Order: sequence, then structure tokens, then C-alpha cells
Amino acid sequence: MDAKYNKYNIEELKFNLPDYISNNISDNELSDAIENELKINPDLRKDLDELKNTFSFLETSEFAAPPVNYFSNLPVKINQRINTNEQPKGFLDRLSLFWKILIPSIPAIIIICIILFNSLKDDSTEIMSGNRDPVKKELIQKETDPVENKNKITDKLSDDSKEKTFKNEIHKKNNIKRSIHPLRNNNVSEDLTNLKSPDTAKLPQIPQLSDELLADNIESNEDSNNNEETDILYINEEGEDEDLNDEFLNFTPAEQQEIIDNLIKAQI
Amino acid sequence: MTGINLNIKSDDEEIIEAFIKGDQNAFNLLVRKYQERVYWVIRKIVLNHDDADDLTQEVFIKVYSSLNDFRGDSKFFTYIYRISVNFSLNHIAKNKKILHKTVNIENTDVSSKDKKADEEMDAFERTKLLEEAIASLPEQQRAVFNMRYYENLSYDDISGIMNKSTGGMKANYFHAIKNIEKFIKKHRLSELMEQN
Repeated sequence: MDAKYNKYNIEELKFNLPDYISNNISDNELSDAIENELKINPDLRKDLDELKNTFSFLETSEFAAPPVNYFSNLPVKINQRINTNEQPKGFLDRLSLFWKILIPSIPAIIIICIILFNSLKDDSTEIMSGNRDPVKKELIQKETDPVENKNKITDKLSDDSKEKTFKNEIHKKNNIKRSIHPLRNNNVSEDLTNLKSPDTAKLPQIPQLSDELLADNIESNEDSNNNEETDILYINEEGEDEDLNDEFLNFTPAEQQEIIDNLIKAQI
Repeated sequence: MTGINLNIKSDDEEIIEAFIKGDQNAFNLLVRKYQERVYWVIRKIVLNHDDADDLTQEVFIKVYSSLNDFRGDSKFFTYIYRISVNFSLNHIAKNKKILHKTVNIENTDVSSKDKKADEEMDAFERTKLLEEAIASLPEQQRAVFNMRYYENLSYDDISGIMNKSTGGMKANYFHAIKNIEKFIKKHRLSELMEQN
């Protein structure tokens, strides 16, 4: 092979074969190099033959033509599409993709914000009320436990009832004392005189009784403050009764029934 | 209007200048001048008239919207070719699976039709075989083959359109023809086997 063709490698010569077949090689040196290589290289010769066959097939084959008048109508179609594209777009069409997505999702975002805000608000309320402190939380839980509260109220009511009963008894007792006291009640003294006159046999009993009563009365006079206190308590009792009634009425019927049941159980 | 009498034989530069100055007819001239070439470039890559029609319109719409930015660094012909080839290759890439399915179905139809020899093949069968052979090519080879064989573009122009080296374009063209040859051979072989 001539030295001047050595500057072309086989690959280069091969890739120029299609142009060699169609006489499109303007470089004579390259054309000569291909011809020389074809004489000595059967593989390149084979490639050349195959390419020639393909070109002969391509020359005799054509693509199906487009419909008649296609090219005369094409500019009209293009102009129509351009005019359509240039028409002013609606508000939504002019929006960018970001806004097209954002606008419909605004209600959802607002709802999420409200939920988050509410949950944060609850948390902050808990923190403010100290509910985070386990000891305080337990105390609050206890305070807020409805069953325990009911029991407490019932206990309180039973205690109050016991106290009230006790006070009533004292009151009755005092009333009896008052009714028997000769200084306070003339009828009692008259009774006493009447008692003295008809049956003297019974007299020793009467002074004994009156002494006892007097003694009791002295004691009660001595404890006049106590009596006054009793009266005050009694007055207070009425006030408390009103409060208790109001409190009682504030309960639901079921709770009221429960309280009544508890009172019955307590035999008050 | 510019007042210049433009016709289809006017220089591209003159027509483009008139369009930039607001002459709407200048664009219509460009369409009439290049529509057939653009259509066939696209058609020989996408191998389907309806797709080629749609893509041709899109190419000219693209030209219409971007012609003001055309600086004239390259020939208008190269510019519009580049758009056409890119649109076609993008279309193929999008519809790759569908195209392969279509080709397979068409293959079955051709093989089961006539049992004629290659010389006796009618024009319809040849066209089908040609389209199938080109469809079997890789996208880049298909584009280069069309530009070189059918449009007689120089390798320099093709490399400018494809943004690849001239040597690479030569290699693509050679391999494209070899692959077409292989496809035809395979088709003939299957026909012979069916005949026997």
C-alpha cells in the first residue's frame, strides 16, 4: 500500500464508503485510498457490496405521499393555530403552574392551620394550668373525677345531715328546757303551782324535777353563749340548708337520686 | 408592511427582516418555502403522516414565536432543520414503546401477506419495508440517515444540527445503512423460510 494513503485508517475508509458509492467524495486522495484498500481488503469489499444493495433498495422505495392538497392547506392550518395561541387567555390559563396548584389547595391549608392552631392552643393551656406536672395532674384528675366528687359530696351531705340532726336534737332539747323554765314560761310555773296544790304527795318529785331542770337551766344559762351559738348555728343552719338545697338542685336527677340513696343508707 | 416585493425566491434574510418589521406575509412565505422539506424531514423520522403533520405545524409555530430572536449566525435552513429534527426525536422518545408495538404488528402483516421474491415486491410492500427498516434504526442514526441520504445535507451541516462531530456523523450514516441492510436481509430470510 502506498505510504501516502497510510494517513487513513480502515474505519475512516469504511465510514466514507457510502459517499464513495454516491460519488460525494471531493477529496481525491481519500477516494484513491478507498479504491486501493478495496483491492486488497475483502471485508471492505463485502461492506461495499452490501451498501450498494441497500442503496438500490432505497432508490426503488419511496415513502407514501401525503394527501392531495396537503401542502396548499398547511399554511392555513399553521396560521389558525398561531391565531388560537395568540388569543387572550383566561385568568386561570395565565396563571403559572405554582398558582394553579396553590389556589385550589388554599382551603385545605386553612383547615390544616386551624387544626394545628387549636392543638397548639390546647397544649399551651395545659402548660399554663400546670397539667404537665404529674403530681398536679394527679390532683386535678382527682378533683375532676366525677365518682370521687359525688362520694365526697355525699359524705359531706351525710356529715352535714348528721350535724343537722344533732343540732336539731339540741334545739329540741333547748325548746323543752325553755318550755319547762319557770322564768321564761309562765304556763310552766302555773303548771308547777297547779302541780303543787292538788297532789302534795307528788311534790317531792316536782322540786326534784324542777331542781334538776333548774340545774340544767343554770347550766344552760351558764352556757348562754352556747345557747346563743346554738341559735346562731340554727340560723346558720337555715342558711346552709338553702345553700345545700341550691347545691342539691344543681345536681342532675341521677345524682340527686344517688345522694338520696346514700342518705337512706346512712339511716339519716 | 415594508413595501418590499417579496416572493418565494427571495433570500431568507430579506424575508426574516420583513417579518421582524411586522410583515405577516413574510412568515407565510417562509412556510410556503420550507413546508415540504420540513414535512419530509419529520415524516422520514417519525414515519407517520398524522404525526408529521402535527409536528410540521408545531415547528412553524415555534419559528413564528422565536424568529425575532434569530441572529443569523447559521443559515435559516439549518435553524429550521434543527428544530424539525429535535421535535421529531423528542416525539420518537415519547412514543418509543407505542412505535415498537406498531412496527411489530406491521411486521407480522408483511410476512404473512405475499410470498413474492424481492424483485417482485410491489411498491406498497417496498414502502412498508423501507419504513420498518428506518423505524428499526436508533434515533440518532435515523435522523442522520434522513438528513444525508434524502436531504443531501453536508456532514458539517448535520453535525451543526446534531451538535456532534463530523466523524461521528459519518459513522452514524454508515451504521444506519448497514442496519437497514441487516433488516432487509432478515426480512427476506423470514420470507424464504415461510416459502419453504
